[in-house]
Amino acid sequence: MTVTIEIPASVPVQIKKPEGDAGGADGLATTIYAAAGRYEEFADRCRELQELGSWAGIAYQSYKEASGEASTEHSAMATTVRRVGRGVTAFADTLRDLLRDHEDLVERKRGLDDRRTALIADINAATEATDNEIAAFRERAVELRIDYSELVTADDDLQRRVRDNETLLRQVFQAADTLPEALSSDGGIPPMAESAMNRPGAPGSGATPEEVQRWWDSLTEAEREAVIAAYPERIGQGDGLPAGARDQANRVLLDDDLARLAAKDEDGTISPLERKMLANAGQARDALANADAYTDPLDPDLKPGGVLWLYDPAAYEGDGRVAVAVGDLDHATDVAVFTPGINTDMGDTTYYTDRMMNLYESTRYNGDGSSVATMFWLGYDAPHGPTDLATLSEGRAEEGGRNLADAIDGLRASRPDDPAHLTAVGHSYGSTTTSYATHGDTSDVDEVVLIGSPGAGPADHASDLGPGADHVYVGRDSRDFVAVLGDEGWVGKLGIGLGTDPSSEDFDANRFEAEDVDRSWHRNTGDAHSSYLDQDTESLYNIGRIVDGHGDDINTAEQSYDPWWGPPQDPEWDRDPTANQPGRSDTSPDR
Amino acid sequence: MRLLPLRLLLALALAVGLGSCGDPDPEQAADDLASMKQAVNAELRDMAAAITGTGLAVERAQGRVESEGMSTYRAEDYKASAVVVGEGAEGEQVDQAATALEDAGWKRTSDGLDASEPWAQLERDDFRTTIGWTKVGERELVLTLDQEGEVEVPQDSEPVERDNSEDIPLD
Repeated sequence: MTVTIEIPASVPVQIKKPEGDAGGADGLATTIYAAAGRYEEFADRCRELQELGSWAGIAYQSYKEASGEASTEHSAMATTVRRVGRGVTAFADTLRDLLRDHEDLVERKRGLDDRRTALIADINAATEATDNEIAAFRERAVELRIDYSELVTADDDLQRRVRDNETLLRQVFQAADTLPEALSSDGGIPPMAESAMNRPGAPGSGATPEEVQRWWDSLTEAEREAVIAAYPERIGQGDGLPAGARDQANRVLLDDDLARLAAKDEDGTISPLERKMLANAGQARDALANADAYTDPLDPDLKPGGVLWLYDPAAYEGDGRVAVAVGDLDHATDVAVFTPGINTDMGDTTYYTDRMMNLYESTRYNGDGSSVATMFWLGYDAPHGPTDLATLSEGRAEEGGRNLADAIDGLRASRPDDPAHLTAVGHSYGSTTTSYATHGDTSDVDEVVLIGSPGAGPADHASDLGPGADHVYVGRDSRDFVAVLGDEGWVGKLGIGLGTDPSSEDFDANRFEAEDVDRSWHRNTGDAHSSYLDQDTESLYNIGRIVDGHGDDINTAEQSYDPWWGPPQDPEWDRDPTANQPGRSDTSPDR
Repeated sequence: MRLLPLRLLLALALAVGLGSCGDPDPEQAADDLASMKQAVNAELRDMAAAITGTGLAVERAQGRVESEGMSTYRAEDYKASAVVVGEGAEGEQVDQAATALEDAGWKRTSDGLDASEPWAQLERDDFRTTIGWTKVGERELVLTLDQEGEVEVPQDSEPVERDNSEDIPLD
């Protein structure tokens, strides 16, 4: 008896590789950014040379008008040329993604072809096949057909995205290929991007994070790529947008700054503020490179990757605003947002990103297997140091708290159907900032962790913070000088700190063990105040458990108290700290 | 009320300033770290000699520098580790290694401390060693060694590369 089994064809016959060289496109973008820098320099110089002191009269008026016009036109030209450069950077980034996807599809097809060859060989070898064997062959053929069909769909999608990317690049150049266009305020902006940005809900239009999220959802993939390329400032700071989109936009801005400002630095025309911006950009670049290279402690094949969630190197007179995450903020089950304290500016980005790797590692190493993302957030103007008068008041913390609350709202809105377990962690002055951000019922975090805190700002009691007293945690090393400044007990400390000491009985949060083996015999602002995120410490272990959603499993410590008859007491003072102890302070693989 | 923090936080500024007066000299910090590295490596070799021959072997020793601190204080610490190879139940091997070190003058400090698995910690002078089984990858008995303290580094120091392990010759 002859049996027919239909073997599906190997389709698509060819998976076309996207054309183009991403590295070459990056090189072109760098050249364009440098050219934009030249236009900027010319515009700046024209403006500077308008006032020539003693020269006056008609000729001077003519000179002034001409140089003013030249400055304006060259400034507009610089903006347009930068936009074109950003378009090329975005093209290169997308091309890289497309080439990766192409490789994946080729690999998938290779797998399907192997299965097809094996099926044919098995059928040919089966001379006396039973009914069951024939049914199994047919089932394998059907599954293969379905998989080939899905591959064809994926290939169609890839080729469409390739065309969209090329169209976008063409539109970017076309929008700036005449002098009037180049001098106009929207030079270099593709019509597709402009039209998308003019729709209600676009970031920067006053829309709420929820409206921004819905706006993003309404865009086609091509429109998304277009707005990232044309409006990276607005997308990069768009609360409510997916972290992946913000990251892509901020990396475009980063490439622009690195190339343009480096060219100005080389020319000797860089201003003091721009020099700070260039250093900040270098920090962001290095922090991202470190985060991108970081490997998960449990799975050597997993690189959680870095996210440039916020990038504004010129903010606060060059101190900068930045947020860098380790892990996938758009999909991670557990997300932590860490706010640093005094003495922190964008020049510290690599260091704090490294601390975020420690927190990621601890959370995963002692965790339940859930995915994790940890973010260093410096979205406020942290006081410069102990001698900065801003350190002595809560003003920066209050303002920073508003910014942090907005950031949290943005993160929440970006994942309406898949909310993360979200923990806000604040250190030192950043703990006061975190208290301001999470104070009241409107806060939308699941857990609050305050470490090395000089005071909880507006909160007198743990229940004053959004998630409620059961989900407020405090870490204080008994030798931490800063963390004993907050008010405790009936007498208080005459307002020396920034509110109530969150480790105290009065505040009544969940205090966890946070003593460090190198804490010293006396109170200090060195190791005792700064070791909370060091590897193999009690503090990092407990914070990792909280971030992982197991705050009920921390190693608790007795709260401090201030009896009316004597000085404040810390029951942790006499306890020997542990390090590297399983279940208590072991936070990283030893090998 | 607003004046009170100003008045009293002058004391804070002074105290904090005293605590961090002057950034450490980078060359001195590098020298101190090199000394720490030398001391830890020598101690590890001494431990390996004490353990070897008791039915256990010590191999694949490595050392690495870790970045520590944040905010007002940055430091680097050097830690070493090695794999202990033996036979028998996991708990027995831990105990065997710890006993060998006790015979060499180490004092067990982990007695009475809870841990979720076989584990021991011992101290001698200003060194602390932890003996335990790896949780990730191939199950191995590992001892780690740390010297008390760390080396303070300048505020503008970059974090050390995370994967900076170097082999330590044991002979």
